[in-house]
Amino acid sequence: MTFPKLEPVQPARPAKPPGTVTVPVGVGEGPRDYLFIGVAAVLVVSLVLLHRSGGNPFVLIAVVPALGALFVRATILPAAFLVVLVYLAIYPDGRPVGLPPPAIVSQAHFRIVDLVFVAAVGVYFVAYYRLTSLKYRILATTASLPAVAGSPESPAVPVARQGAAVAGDEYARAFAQVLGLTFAAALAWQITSVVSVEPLRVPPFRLEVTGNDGTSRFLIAAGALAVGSLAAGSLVWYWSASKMRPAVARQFLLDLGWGESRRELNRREKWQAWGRGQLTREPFRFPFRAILRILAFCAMMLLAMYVGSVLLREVVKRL
Amino acid sequence: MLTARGWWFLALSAAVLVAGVLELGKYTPLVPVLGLTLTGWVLSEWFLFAYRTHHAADRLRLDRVLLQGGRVVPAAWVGVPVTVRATVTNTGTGRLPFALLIDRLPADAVPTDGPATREASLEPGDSARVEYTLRPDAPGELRFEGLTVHVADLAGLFYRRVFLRVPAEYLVLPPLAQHDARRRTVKRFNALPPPGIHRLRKPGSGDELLDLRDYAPGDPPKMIAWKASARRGTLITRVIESDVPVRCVVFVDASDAARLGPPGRSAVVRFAGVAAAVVQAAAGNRDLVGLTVVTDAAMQVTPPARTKVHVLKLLHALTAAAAGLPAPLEADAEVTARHALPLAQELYPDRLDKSVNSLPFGLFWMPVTDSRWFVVVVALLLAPLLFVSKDVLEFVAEVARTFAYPGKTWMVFAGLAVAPAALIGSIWVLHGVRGFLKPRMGRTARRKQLATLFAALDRAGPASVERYLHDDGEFTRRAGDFLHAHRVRLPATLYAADGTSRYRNPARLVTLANAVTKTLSHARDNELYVVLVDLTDLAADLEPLLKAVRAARARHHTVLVLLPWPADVPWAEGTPARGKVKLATLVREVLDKRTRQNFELARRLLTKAGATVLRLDAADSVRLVLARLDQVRAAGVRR
Repeated sequence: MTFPKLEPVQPARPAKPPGTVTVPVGVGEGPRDYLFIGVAAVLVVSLVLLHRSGGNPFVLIAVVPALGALFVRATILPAAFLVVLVYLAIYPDGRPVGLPPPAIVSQAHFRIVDLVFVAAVGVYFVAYYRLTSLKYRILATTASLPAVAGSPESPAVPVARQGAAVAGDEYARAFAQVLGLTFAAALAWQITSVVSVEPLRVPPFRLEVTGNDGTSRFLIAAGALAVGSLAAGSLVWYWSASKMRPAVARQFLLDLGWGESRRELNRREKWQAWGRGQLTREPFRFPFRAILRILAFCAMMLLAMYVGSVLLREVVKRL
Repeated sequence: MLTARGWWFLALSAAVLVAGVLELGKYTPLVPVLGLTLTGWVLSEWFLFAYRTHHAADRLRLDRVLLQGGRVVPAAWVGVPVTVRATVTNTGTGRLPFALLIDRLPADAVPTDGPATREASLEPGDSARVEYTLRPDAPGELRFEGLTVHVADLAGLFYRRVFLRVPAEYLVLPPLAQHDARRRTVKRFNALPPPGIHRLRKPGSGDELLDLRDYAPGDPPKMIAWKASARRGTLITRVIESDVPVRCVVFVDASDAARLGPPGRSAVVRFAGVAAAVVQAAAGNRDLVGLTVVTDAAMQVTPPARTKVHVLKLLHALTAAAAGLPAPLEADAEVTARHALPLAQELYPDRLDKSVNSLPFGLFWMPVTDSRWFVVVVALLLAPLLFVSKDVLEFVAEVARTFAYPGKTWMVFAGLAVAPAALIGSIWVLHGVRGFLKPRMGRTARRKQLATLFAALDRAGPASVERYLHDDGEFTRRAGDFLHAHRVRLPATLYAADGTSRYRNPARLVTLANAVTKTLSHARDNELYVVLVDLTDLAADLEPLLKAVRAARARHHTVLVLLPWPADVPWAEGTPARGKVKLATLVREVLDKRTRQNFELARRLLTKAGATVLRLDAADSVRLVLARLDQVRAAGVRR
């Protein structure tokens, strides 16, 4: 009798230790490109800060954390960079002169320098986070999964993005996104600054080219946030529901049905559990043995106390 | 979902935005515009990520094939490397700039070549392959549950895990015994014997000369070898080989007790390996070979035959027997839930999402009506009725006059009226909030999530969810089935409090004896029964099996019993430890001693009944077993 001949496939390389997640870290040109982009953005920010401060070199202290964050892994540095930038935006030369500073809203909209500044900061943060994903890790939250018996997945291993996987159009898309957002933000701010809210009038909005007060701005921002959140939330909910797979949708309805009927079902289950308990419960037996043991124990204790007291009395008498 | 990095950046940019809108915007538009830009970037990335999640991550397709020698195969073989190729295709309209694909390996499988993980960027219509090599060590089953896809945006602000659930099961057939199962008998001519004429050295009435021996009174004269007789000067008789094929029937114990043990190293896996070699060796000797797989209460009989297809059928049956897991015994509901939930989280992340598997506030609240405190509450509710009695009122008035300031006695009455309500409220609140404390809250949440998942998988209604929440037995059974289906072993308590094995089942010996007896009823001449059974804890209950063995021997069949020896128990009894001995060591010594005693008893009884007993060591190779098998088969030769 012959069996089909099988040619074993020999492994081409020696076996690797189990649990190894082979993801090359930081190879290719991606990290280098994002590093250059980040440094360039910091340079632009520096130039704008120098321009706003009238050439005061002290303001360059802002770029120290920004550059540090590009080279050293310290998550606090980008936050520090942003805080310093906000401070320097209020006090361009770095000195808190004239508290509070003069209001300059009416002459500040759509200044090219400001737009360049904001766009550079945006590009910096995009470059910083993408560089972090390339150099250190892009996935970090899988570690929250508990271990499953027999699961070969090793979620605790941080995974960085491969540098070679960086696509050529990635940079252009990121720049376009940040530039678009910068213009949109400037436009939105312009609208909130020139529209005044007067709740008692119809319509409750009025255009004021010279600029409105802070209350109107706050009301518009809060209103836009509330309406936008509601609309976006509804849209996302409907969108998610419409894209739900049949099995998941069935479970959604099951859970909904359970939520509506759980009080009645709960009562029924508790009665059934009580019934099962009654069936399995052993018939009551008077605990003769236990009572006898207790009585015997008490009797022994009394006897021991009596004997002890007699002995003690004798001892005291002898002494 | 936002990662920690995403939360921090969103909070920071939102803080800048709020500060800019509320106050700092008065001084410079830079701050609000910067806040708007950065917040807008996070939100736009969020929107993009959500779009990609719904239009790409949820539309991934997984195809899996097993390859050997470049060809797609439906099963794997022990010891032969097999390449697993999982192809993930983006059938959606969105693109995934970063996706980490991690194939979920079968239990205890380790890739010998190539990682089971890969990073990919998937445009619409793109495919990515994860390819690696496995080398199965034991017969059984390879169950691939699916593939995990970790999706993130390029900045690492958002993350989602998707599991492509495409379960696939592949049998791992026992090794093809091209070397180990080679025939042991001496080959005397270069030709395969025709079917029906075997090569065993057993006397019979065939055509081939087997041996010469001295003449014995009663030998037929035609069997006298005259030339040899003339040379030696005494009568010599020719012994002719038997031309009746040996029918070999292998009995494999696949009961729950034999399935205990680490994956790939249980007794039934060893049985399957040895039985496969025996089957192939018998087939190689052109004998008919059959198989009976015996479980605790049932038997699966494959009658003896000789064809290639039959041998492959036997190998499949052995593989199926080796792939089985011990049925979960009665276990604690909480223990079962603690094992089932991580598995469910890994395999069904979409089904455990709170949007489809809710955890409402009321689920954790513990109503006082379900507890013994309810009696106290009722008593307190009825307490004001005491004031109907005139005596009680007078007593309260007396107390009030005694303890209260003059003119303030109404306060005592008010306090007595309010106190029951306050007590009831306190009991109600204190009892109810206990459900939100550890570990009760986690237990309830686990139970609810699994209950909804099980009900959804079974396509049952809301009543099932509530049933699983309150009925421990039902929940444990369903969770055990869930783990069993996904080939996850629940830690089993092997021994009861009295030291006896919880998997001890004397009824399986009755089933085995019935299987042997049933085979005897169809038996012909020259049958060989190979019984692979674990009798470690059943040495005292061997009587049914002994009866069957005696019956087989009475009909001149050969019975070979292979008993496995536990790998972690030394064969030779060591010197008992002296001095300070740990309790675990002592228990271990007692259990080892009991194993030796049981084995010796079983061996003695079976040998006395006429069977040949072999110890199946972990170090024993199949070749050794076959050598012993050949010795047993040739034992009837008269020299």
